[in-house]
Amino acid sequence: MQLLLEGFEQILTINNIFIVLFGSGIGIIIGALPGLNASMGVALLLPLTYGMEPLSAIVMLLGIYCGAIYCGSITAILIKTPGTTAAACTVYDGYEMAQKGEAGKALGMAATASLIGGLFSVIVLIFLSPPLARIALAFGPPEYFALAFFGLSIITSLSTDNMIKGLVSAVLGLLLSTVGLDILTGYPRFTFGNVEMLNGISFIPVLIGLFAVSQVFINVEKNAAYGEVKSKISGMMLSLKDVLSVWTTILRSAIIGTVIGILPGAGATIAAFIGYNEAKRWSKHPEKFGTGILEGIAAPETANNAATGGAMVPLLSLGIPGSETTAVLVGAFMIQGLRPGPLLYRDHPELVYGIFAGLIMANIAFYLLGMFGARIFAQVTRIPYRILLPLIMVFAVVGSYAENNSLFDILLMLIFGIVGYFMKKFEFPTSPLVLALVLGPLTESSFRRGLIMSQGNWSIFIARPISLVLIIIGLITLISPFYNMIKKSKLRVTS
Amino acid sequence: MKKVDTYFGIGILIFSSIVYYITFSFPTNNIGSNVEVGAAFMPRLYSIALFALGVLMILSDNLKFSKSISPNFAGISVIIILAAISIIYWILLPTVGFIPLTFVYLIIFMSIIAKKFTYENVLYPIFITAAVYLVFNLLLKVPLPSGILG
Repeated sequence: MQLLLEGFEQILTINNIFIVLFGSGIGIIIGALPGLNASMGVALLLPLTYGMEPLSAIVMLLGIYCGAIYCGSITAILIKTPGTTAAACTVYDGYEMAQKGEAGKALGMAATASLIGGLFSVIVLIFLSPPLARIALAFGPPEYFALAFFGLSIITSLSTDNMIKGLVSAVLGLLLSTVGLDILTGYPRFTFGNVEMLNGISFIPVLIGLFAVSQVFINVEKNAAYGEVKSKISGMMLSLKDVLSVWTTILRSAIIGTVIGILPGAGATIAAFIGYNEAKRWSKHPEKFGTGILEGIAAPETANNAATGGAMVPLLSLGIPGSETTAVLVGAFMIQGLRPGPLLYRDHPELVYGIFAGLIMANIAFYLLGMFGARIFAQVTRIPYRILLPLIMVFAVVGSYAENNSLFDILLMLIFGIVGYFMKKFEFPTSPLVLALVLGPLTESSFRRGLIMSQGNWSIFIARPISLVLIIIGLITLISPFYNMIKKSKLRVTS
Repeated sequence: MKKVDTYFGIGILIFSSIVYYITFSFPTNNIGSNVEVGAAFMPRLYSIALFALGVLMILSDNLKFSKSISPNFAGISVIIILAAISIIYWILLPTVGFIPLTFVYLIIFMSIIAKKFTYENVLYPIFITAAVYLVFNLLLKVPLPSGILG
C-alpha cells in the first residue's frame, strides 16, 4: 500500500497528469479511426518517448492503449464501423441504440463499462503481479524456457482457422530472433557480412512495418471510405439505475476480460467476443441482443478494457507480453534501458507501482475525455485517408530511424511492411511472428543454458515441477486445436 | 486461386532446407556440456520445425483440412508503385535529407492515393513536414536523417 501511494505521488504531478491526458487523447483519436488500432498507435508513437522519463513514457503509451481500446466503441455506435477490432461486438447493440435516438446513452454505457473493466483489471494487477514476480525470481533457465514455450503455444493456438499458418509465422519469428551475434558464443549468424545485422533484427522497425505500414497498404488498396457521423449526440444520458441494471453483466465481463488478458497472446478482441457471448448465454432474454440493449454494449466494453490490465500482469511480473500491444510496450521498456519482468520489481519497485497508479489515471482520463468529448472525437473520422495514410508513413520512418539512427532500420521497416501486407493477404497472422520475435531470445538462451546446466540431459525441463506444469499446459494448448480441427472435419464427412 | 497453400508449403520446405544447410557453416561448440548447444543448435531446430510445418501445410491443403483462400489483388498495382516509391525514398534519404525528401514523398504519395494532383497535395505536406520536424527534432530531440539539402 505504501508503494502504491508513492506511485500516486509520482503520477500526480502536472507533467504526468498532462502526459496521461495527452496519451489517452491520442489513444481515443487512434481508436476512433477504423484501420488504426492500439498496437499500431503505440508502435508509431514510441519515438515520442525517447527523451522522456521512464514512468512518463510508459504511462503515456498505456494511456494510448486504454484510450484506443475504449474509443473503438464511438465509431462502432455512431457509424456502425468499429474503430478497433475490440469494438466489433459493440456494433450490434450500439448502432441500434443510436438509430433509436439513444446514442448518448450508448456512448455513456461504453465509457462507463470500459472504466469499470479497466479499473477492475488494474486492481487484480496490483494484487496478483507482485506475488507472481516473487515466484518468478526463483525461476531458473528451465522455468524460463517453459514459460516462453507456454507463451508461444497460446499465441499460435489462437490463430483459429489458420493454425498451421500461425505456427509458421511463429517459427519464422523465432528464426528471425537468431539473426545477429549468438548470445552464448558471440558467433554472427545469418548476417551475410552485413555489419548492421550484428545486433540482430531490430524489433521496433519490424513492429512498425508489420502493424502500421502493412495496414497502410491494405487501406490504400481497399480505397477505404470513412463514414460521416450523422447520429445526434445530446449528452451522455446514462443514469446510475442504467448501470446497476447490468451490474452482473459488467462483473462477469470484467472477470472474463481480466483472465483472458492475463493469458499470453490473448487480448482485448477475444475478451470482447467471449464477454459478449457469455452475456448472451446468461441473459434471461438472449433474443434481445442485437436489438439495441445496454447489456450488449456493457459486456464487450467491460471485457475489452479489463483485458488491458490483465495483459499487464504477465508483462510486468514475468516479462511475457499478454497481448499484441503489450509486446509493443516491451519496446518502450527497452528504449528506457529496462526489461519488464521480476527483476523490474526487485530493482525498480517505484517504477512498477508508478505504472499501476498511471494505469488507474489512464482509465479515469479516457472516461472523462470520452464522456465530455465524444462528439469532438467522432469528427476525426472525417480526416481523409489521403492525408492520414501518408502521415502514418512519415511517423513510421521517424519511428524506425530514431532508435539506432540507422537507415538500415528504415529499410527493415519497409521490407516488413511489404511482408506484412502479403502475410495479411494470404491469411498468415502477423501477431505470432512479432510475439515470437519478442520471446525468441528468452526461449533460446534459457533452453541452451538449461542443457548446459544439466550436461545435456533434456529431462531437466520436466524434472522441475513449475517447468513440467508449464510444458504440459503448453503441449495441450498446442495439440488441442489440431485435435478439434480433425474432429470437425470427421463430423463434416459423416454428416 | 487453387492450391495456394501447397505452393507456400513447397516454398517453406525449400526455405527451411536452405536455412538448415547454412547452419553447417556455424562452428560447433558444446560450451561445457555433453551435447552440441552451439550457435547452430536452435536455428537447426527451428528449420526442422519449419520443414515439418511445410509438409503439414501441403497435406492440409490437399486433404482439405483447411479452407482454400482467394486473395484479391485488384489494387496491387498501386501498392507496388507506393512500395517502389518508398524504397526510392529510402535510397535517396542519406543524400537529399529528411525534410526536402519527405516533402516530395508526401506530395507523390497523396497524389497517388487521391488519384489526382491538387493544391492540397502540396499544402498538407508543408504542414506535415514542418510539424514532424518541429515536434520530433526540435521539441523531442529525436534525430532525423540528414543529407546535403537538410
